[in-house]
Amino acid sequence: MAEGNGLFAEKMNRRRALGLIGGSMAACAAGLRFPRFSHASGRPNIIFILSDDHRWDAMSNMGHPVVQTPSLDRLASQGVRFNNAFVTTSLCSPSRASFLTGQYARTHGVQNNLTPWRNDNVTFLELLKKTGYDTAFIGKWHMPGRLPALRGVDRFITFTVQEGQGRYFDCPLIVDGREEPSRKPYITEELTDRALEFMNRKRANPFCLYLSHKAVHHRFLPPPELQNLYNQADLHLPPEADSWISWAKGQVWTGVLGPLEREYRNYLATLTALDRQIGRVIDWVDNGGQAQNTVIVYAGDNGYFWGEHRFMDKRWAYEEAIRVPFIVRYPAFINRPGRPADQMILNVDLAPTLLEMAGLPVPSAMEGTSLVPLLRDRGAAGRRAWMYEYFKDFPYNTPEHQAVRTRRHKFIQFQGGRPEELYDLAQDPREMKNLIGTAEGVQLRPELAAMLEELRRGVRL
Amino acid sequence: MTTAGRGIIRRSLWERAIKPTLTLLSLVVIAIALYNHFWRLGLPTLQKIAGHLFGLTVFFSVGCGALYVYWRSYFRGATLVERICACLVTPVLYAASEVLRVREFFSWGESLYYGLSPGFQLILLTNLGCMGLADMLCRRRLRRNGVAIKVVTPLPLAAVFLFLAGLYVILIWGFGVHWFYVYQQGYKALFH
Repeated sequence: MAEGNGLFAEKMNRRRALGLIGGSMAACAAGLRFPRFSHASGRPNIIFILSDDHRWDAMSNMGHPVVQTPSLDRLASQGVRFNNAFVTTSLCSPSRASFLTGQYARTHGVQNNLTPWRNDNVTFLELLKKTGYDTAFIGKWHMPGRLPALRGVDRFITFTVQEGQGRYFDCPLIVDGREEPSRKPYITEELTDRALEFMNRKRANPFCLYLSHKAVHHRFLPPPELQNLYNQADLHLPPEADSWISWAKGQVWTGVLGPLEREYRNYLATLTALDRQIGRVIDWVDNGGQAQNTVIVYAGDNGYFWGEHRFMDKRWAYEEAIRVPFIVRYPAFINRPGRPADQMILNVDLAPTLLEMAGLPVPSAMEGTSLVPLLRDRGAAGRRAWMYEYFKDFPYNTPEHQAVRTRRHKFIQFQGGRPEELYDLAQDPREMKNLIGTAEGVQLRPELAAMLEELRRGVRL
Repeated sequence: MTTAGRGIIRRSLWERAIKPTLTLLSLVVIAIALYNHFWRLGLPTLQKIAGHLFGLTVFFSVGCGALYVYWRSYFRGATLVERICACLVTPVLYAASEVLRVREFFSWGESLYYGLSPGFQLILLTNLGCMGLADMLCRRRLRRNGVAIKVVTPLPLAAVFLFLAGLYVILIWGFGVHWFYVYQQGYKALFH
């Protein structure tokens, strides 16, 4: 990346400047929401790193008793770690589409792992490209249907083996439509290499890199040198968990067939392997003098149960499945870096945030809200409530359901005959005591049900 | 009582087929109930042991219960058809109960298709393999008792090979992933 690549740092010719002004005016006329963020520092490079099935508390900076994640700790210490980050659908494909489009699954259409990506979906990469960003999508695409010709993406590297899940070792890649063998045996290292190659290209424009890892999805395979990393660790699995959970009540579909403890150790080791590769990306930014001018966002696509509620996998509206790690580092303007933020944020907020950071208007079709105010002002008010939705995904044993999550309560409505659930998250953070039918539940339910109805209609709370 | 040949006394239908079936079925029902609800007692140390104990019991009684049922019914004079039917009762009822359970999430058609899923295919094939193995074990016992009988015969051997082939295709080939995707393609073709 060349020095001084920002909008105001680089030499801008008259045609480009007029184009930007004209585009902005046209956007205004089209009814787009404009940001209030001042771009005195110019347009930043953007690196978005997405992991798979990384639950929010599996980081050493979150006090996890076992796993070591020094690179993510470094990001958190230099940026803002959102302690209450959620996904609107806890499932790979819908959540990934939400990150890209800033929309709920009901809007972008990827409702489960079987419904295809619609080619008329607009991604933030496409919008950034239109204003001169160099863009790359590298890693796991994993959305149903044929691999799309992603609009606005200069470099598209992904994989299609195993229905797009990829393999941890020797995973063949699709590089701009052509199959290529993996040069490194381990997929996380290979994808990082490819990302660094893209970042290293000489260019006059800022870049946006979407680096989407396979890790730490099942089968949780760490590289050989880390295989025994946590073998002696005391794992602190939940009391209701046991080794046979993944065989019970249809959970065999999660594919986790070995003893729970062994799988969890591998999960954590795979996560540490991912963290090392994230460290390489951060090093590139910092050692190349790009830190002030580069936004790095790290997030997970959904959480993961490790025996809580006697579940494996994700999907359900419980905290373990819907909470994700979400860290933003942008030294140029983050107020008081190193702080956690407690406002509730969502995966659909990513796209509006990146667009605002790049000085672009946020299309009204996006259902998320920019995080820029929260990054600049630690006291900024976040949302009061938001809606979670899960759609049927055969043959996984989870009913369709919707939930409203406020700062304190969660109210879940299922399709079919399953009774409603209501939890006081302050009193009962593990969601073990359903308040429906209790005096407290009777009092709380009407307001929460009304909120859910409003959110279904698209009202923002 | 009549003789079933080879010196085996044919007992009543209750004794030779229904009783072994119900014994296994009771074990499965109790083990599933204990496995699913023991954790509610809130005894973390005991839960670890109980989880293994009841989990293993469910796993082996559903998957390999035919070993027991076939052996018992064989030496109580059940015919081949009775033995096979007795052995299939538990896995089929288990699959049926799962089909009914998932009706909460899926349509009737989807639920029935769920009953044909790789997991149940494997349970069925495992029980089939166990029947083949049990038949050979029963014959070996008879031969040790002086009955002139072949231990290895084509049909039980074929059952064991069928199980091994199924095990490879369903569980070992791509760690179960490939066959699962074949099953998923079937779902898409039928329901999408």
